[in-house]
Amino acid sequence: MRCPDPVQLEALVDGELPADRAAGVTRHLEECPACATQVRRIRQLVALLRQRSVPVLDELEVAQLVESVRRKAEVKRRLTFAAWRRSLVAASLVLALGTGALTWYRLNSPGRRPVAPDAFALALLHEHRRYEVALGAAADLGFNVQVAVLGQ
Amino acid sequence: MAAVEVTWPGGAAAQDRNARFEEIVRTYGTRVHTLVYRMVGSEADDLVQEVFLQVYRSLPRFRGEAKLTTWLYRIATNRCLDHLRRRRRTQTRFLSLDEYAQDCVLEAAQPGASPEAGTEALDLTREIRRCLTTLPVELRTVVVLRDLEGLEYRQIAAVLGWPLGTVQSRLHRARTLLKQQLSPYLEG
Ligand SMILES: [Zn+2]
Repeated sequence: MRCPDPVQLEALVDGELPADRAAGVTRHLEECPACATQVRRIRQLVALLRQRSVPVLDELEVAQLVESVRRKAEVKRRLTFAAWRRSLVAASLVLALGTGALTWYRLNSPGRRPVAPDAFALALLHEHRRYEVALGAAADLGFNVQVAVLGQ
Repeated sequence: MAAVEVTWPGGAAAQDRNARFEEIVRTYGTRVHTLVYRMVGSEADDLVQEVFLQVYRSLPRFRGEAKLTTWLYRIATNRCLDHLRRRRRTQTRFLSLDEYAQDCVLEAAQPGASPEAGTEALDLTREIRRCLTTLPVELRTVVVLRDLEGLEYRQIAAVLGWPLGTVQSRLHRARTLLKQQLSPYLEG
């Protein structure tokens, strides 16, 4: 019999060869010192790696792990909600500034007289009434921001 | 009638999920911890938490199409591989010498061993760890799963999503490298 592939020798050590194949390879080892040495060295290496011990979790550590993961999962959920709320605020800001700019442009387009700030504020209010119906709270928030900006 | 699954925070589904999760940590916590520890060393604690956080989140979607252990090992090894690849790429989080020494002391502490035997074991453990960390991460993973965790080839293939032949050839490469590096500890 020709020398088996090295992968086959490892499969033998790992008990992963079908019985008939394992018997054939084992017979080969009796008459081939090179392959027999290979197998011995694989066995030694595996034994060497296996004897390493690692710390084991006790009852308390398990309980702590469960608790800490649950807490983290909870925090993550809250963060996701907060992020969602932040993006809503950002969107309403963009909307508010957009409608404000549009109103400003309409009132100050070429050929018209400049508008006084209070007239602009009134126009803005009127404009926002229209959006408010459709966009509710978001437009409301945007309007408050615009009033705050104008007030400065 | 179609089964409708209602997930209601704090309701029966959440309670069921919490109970299942606790059961999983109780049963497999040590095994997952050991695996992660063998993969990444003293950074294991943080990573184990991340692994179980992902387990907790994915639990409602786990339908038992894979064995529970395979599923857990898959989550854990993927998380470790990500971590190791990122560490290698950014080169920022190397194990400090102290952390490294601490790992070795923990691993070598065998109950009932004499002090001399302890030192010897410490050297060997340190050497094994050093050799394992020099392996490319895929090779390290396959040797940890096979030789330290004792998984069968088929399970390793399922956990890592590799063909069986890839598992075998990588295991062979990993062991060849380890045999060379650890030859002083092998009898020949
Ligand atoms: Zn031979």
